[in-house]
Amino acid sequence: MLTLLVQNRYAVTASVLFAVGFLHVLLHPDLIRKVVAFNIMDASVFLLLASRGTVAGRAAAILTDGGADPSRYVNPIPAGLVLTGIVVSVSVSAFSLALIQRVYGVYGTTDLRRLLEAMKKRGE
Amino acid sequence: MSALRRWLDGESGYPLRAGWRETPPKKPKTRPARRDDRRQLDGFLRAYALCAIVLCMLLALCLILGVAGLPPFADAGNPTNNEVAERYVGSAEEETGAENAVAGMILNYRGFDTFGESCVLFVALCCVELLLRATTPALRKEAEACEKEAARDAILATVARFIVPCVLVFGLCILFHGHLSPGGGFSGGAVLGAALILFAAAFGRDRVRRFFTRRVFDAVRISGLMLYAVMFGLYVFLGANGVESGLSRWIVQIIDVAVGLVVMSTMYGFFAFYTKGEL
Repeated sequence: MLTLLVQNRYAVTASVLFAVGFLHVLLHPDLIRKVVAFNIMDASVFLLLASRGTVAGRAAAILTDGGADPSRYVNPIPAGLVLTGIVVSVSVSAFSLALIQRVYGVYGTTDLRRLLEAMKKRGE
Repeated sequence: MSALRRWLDGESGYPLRAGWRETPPKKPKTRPARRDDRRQLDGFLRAYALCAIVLCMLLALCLILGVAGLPPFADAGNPTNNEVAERYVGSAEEETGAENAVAGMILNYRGFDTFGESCVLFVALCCVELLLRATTPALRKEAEACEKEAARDAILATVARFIVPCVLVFGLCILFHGHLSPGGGFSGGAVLGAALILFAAAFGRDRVRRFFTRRVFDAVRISGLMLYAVMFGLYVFLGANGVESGLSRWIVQIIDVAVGLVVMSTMYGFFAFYTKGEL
């Protein structure tokens, strides 16, 4: 088992990063840090996907010989999936940061606890 | 609904501040905070933190146990390297005309998926604009003061004078060689957007507005998306994978440029709306 874990070290790193990001989402009271933590979780998923596409001793999927020999190139599918993931992660981050900026404009804080207090004070 | 309408029309500022609820909210029963409450709350928060840490450690443990069951790293016989990947790599060149198998895959075989991604970016920018557009004069004045403070940095301007043309050329190179080498619409568009952002930060937004006005901005991002839809529809109706590779190569390139336009305007739009609330 240990040799497998060492071999799959990128996947192990990805799982640890995912847990760290999730912990920050749960524990940090600051909304902007929660968005950063979400981005860490995204990055861990990208790392896992990209590592699954690698094949030892093969070149990147730029077909210089006309694609005559598929066994010379790595798997292009994870690269495409990571691209999709990056686009979604950028969009979600941008949208949540815009929402947070709006919230800051109204309540003057991005700290979740102070925000709840301020909301309670206004009777919302 | 009338409050929402007023907000969308730009007549009122933050609807959360006033008039969002039609009925006046009930006054909450306030009671003086007691020391017991405080202690209870602190206890709850401590227990919550402890639970969160335990939960995340369990999660990491489960994930690592799952990783231990994965097939070996970088092995050619892994189930991920199946006939789909072989098919994409093996016939990308003759079917799509793109030497870059990833570009051929995302723009031809999975073109609808990438079209959805472009739409996601487009909609994200619309949402950001809806949320952050400076609607009241006070907000606009604040943003202008912010910009005056930030602009006219001598070091930034001098460096940007050299860097911006290089970044632009690099971005165009990535954009137009997307089907031949690593790169493509997404990375090229992001680099071009970065060049625009650097230009705006160094020389002020007014210089950008001389050539990148509101109308041009809207035209670029909408026509990018439309160009994608039209070209991909054309590709599908001409016979998709059966299209002759010389023609298909041109279609891939045009679609790449369309994606680049969408991504570039989205990146610059995010920057503009975050810093100033308008283009």
